[in-house]
Amino acid sequence: MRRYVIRRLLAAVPTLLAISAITFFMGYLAPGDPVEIILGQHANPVAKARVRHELGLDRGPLAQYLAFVSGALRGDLGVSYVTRRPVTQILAEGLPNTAALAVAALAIALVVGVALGVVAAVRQGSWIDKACMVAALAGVSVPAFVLGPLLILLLALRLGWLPVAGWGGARYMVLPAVVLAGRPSAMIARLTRAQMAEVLRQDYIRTARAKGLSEWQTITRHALRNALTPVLTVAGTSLGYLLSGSFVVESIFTVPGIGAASVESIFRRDYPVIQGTTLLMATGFVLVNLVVDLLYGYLDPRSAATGAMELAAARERE
Amino acid sequence: MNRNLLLLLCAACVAAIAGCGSPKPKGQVLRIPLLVEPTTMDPARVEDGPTIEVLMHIYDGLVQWDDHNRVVPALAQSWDVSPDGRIYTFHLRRDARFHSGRLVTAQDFVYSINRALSPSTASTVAGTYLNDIEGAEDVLAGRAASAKGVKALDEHTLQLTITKPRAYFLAKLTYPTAYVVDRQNVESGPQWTEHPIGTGPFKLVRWDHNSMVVLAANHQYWNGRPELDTIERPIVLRPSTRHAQYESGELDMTDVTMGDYDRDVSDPKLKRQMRVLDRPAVYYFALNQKAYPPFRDRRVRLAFAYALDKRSLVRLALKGVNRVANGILPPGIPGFDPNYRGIPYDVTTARALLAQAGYPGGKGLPPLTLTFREQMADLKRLAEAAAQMYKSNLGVDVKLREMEWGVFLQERNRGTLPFYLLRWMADYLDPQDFLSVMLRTGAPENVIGYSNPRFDSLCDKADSLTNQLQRLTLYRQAERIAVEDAPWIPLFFQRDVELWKPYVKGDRNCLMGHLPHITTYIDTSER
Repeated sequence: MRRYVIRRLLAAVPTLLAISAITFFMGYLAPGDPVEIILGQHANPVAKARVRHELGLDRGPLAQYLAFVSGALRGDLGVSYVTRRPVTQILAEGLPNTAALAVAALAIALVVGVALGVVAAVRQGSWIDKACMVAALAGVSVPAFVLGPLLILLLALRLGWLPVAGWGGARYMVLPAVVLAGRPSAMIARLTRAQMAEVLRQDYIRTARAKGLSEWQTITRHALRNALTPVLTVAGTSLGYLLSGSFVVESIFTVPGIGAASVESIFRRDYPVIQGTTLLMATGFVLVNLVVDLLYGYLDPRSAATGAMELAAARERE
Repeated sequence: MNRNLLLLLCAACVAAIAGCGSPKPKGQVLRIPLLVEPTTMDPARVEDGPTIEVLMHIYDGLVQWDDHNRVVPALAQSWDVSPDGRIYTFHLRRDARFHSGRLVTAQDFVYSINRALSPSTASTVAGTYLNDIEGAEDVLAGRAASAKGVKALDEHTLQLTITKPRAYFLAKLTYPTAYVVDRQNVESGPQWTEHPIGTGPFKLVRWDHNSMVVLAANHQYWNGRPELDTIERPIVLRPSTRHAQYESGELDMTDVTMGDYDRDVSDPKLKRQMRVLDRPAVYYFALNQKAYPPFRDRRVRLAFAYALDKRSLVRLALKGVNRVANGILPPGIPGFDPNYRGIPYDVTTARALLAQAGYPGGKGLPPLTLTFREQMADLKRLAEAAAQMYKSNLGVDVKLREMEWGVFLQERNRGTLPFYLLRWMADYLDPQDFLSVMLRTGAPENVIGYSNPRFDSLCDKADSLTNQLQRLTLYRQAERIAVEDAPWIPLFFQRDVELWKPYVKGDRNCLMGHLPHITTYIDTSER
């Protein structure tokens, strides 16, 4: 197990380095002179040269990249070209909101996904099963920029139950969390159904029923518990998606998270912020996957050889 | 039983979270959206409209716009101009205080102007708005710490000397880069913009980045306490979200995009709340003589101008909201001539001119691409309609190219775009800002190679005159030369469409935008 942990940790290092290189050179090669973004096109050449030197932009690309990596390791991702605020400060302000939204969405996804999956598996082949799977298909297929405005129209404008947008309490979190939960709910529902269907065919379930346990007890005490391990793994990896995939949702519902900061920085060509958010998201994704893999390796030693995701996918295929 | 209890609990949670509708603020609270996160609270560096609108509430300058588009006193109670038009002596108000309670002095203005010019401030706009001041260029270049032309004659008298007489100098001083800042506040640390201290009618009390800006009334304001207690500025990036928030009552005002316009105008309630506001901006096609040699021939440029049915373009692409631009100067800019017809739509003349230039039916013209900013649906519709007109009226195939905004600006500034669609918005309400700044030979913004000595001479003369009537006469002549030389084809003038709740009263507006909400109030009986 220790060797597995070390192997996974070492494997993450080149991934993170590759992410940092792609992120840096994405900004480096993007059109537009950063100094002109800061000082304006017609700025005095002396002032331009001074700012170029201050930012280290007069050095070669490799030296700039190394400075970027060393800064990132020290928690210094530079300063926004537009607002002149430290990028780490911008990220630190947005991250708690993005994380809160992601956790809320994951909770909804787990409750809805597991419920749909269990009902579909128990009523396999019936219209209920089909309805649940159609709902799951819709969850995967309908993008956030369609679902978001639809829910705003229905729940905020027509029924007046929830605010359209904003941030500042649980009621503001409901709509964005529900929209964000759409895709992972569907994934969890499909996996839960597959797992439950397999477990329900096992001998010990037949034994439980023969002992006279009610269907509810059989499902909750025996079937669900065994079916949920790979589901929890997928839920863990979904957290990575939720952390990085909330750009559109944050923008629709004006959630002051990393996604909103990122969208605005893209429109303003504020490369340090774009680099910072990309690096944070990608690193978060890698770390979440790493933790899930390690956790899965701990729960199911067989996965130490194959990897948690591969195992979960194989189970879903089964 | 347990399951029923669980269901009940879930229902109770949902009900508690949902509450019932959106909260209505009590008292004098105005809620208007910010379209973007403010870029800075430093007036020396601000360059975007939404942030300027916030700073106008927190700070003051010597002068300001009023709702008749006039430059009127702000912290300067009055001023004298020397006979040669170069020395401005401002007599400051004696009752103006910073939010900290300290009285404003002339020395504060000396500090603020020199600071704005200083290279360490790295202002992108100080060079545009303060460059007429004697010695400003030296400070901008880092050769001097203070400009020769900025002097405090005593506690309440400020003298600004400019290099040449400039009738539009006062108009330039309305821009935030000339606002007064509190030295102690600025030098308190790099985070001072999180807690700015100005002299304006409102104080910044909350700035939740990417979420909300809250301003509270300044009870000591020199022009009297504002009617409103608070202005809430939620930052809402998406137009559809802003519109939905307005409809749900979460906002008191919103902008209307062309996508929502038809629906809003057909809704009797929303139509009554709609305001259409002129803005000092012109959209135009630029014909770049440096990048597309046939445009060096005036006849080709004129053919492109005559072949365009602007009225149809505005009707098709902009639902008829905007006003067709016959000239370059927008309505409201001094010198605007409502009777000037410009280049009319005349296909016969257009074809004849193109044939005379050696391109009958468009034959022999090198491929031509019209570039415009991406993700602008209105502009795309307009460009498509114009390309269709050029095809049917001149036989010219114009390809269309949408370009990312930053790349577009960069390519435009390099002078590589042969034919592009762009907007120019006034920095201040003066014809000089359109004609001399954009089209004079060698002007930094003139990237299309237009040059006409007579146009230059009229602009130079008008720029230096102090007699407004004489200036405007000369600018009008210059404008006609430019329109009839057709380096630009003016298309339409900008108009903003907005929705305002009927209970918001007393707000003021000028051509440059909304004025500080000093007299605005909420009629709570109507809310």
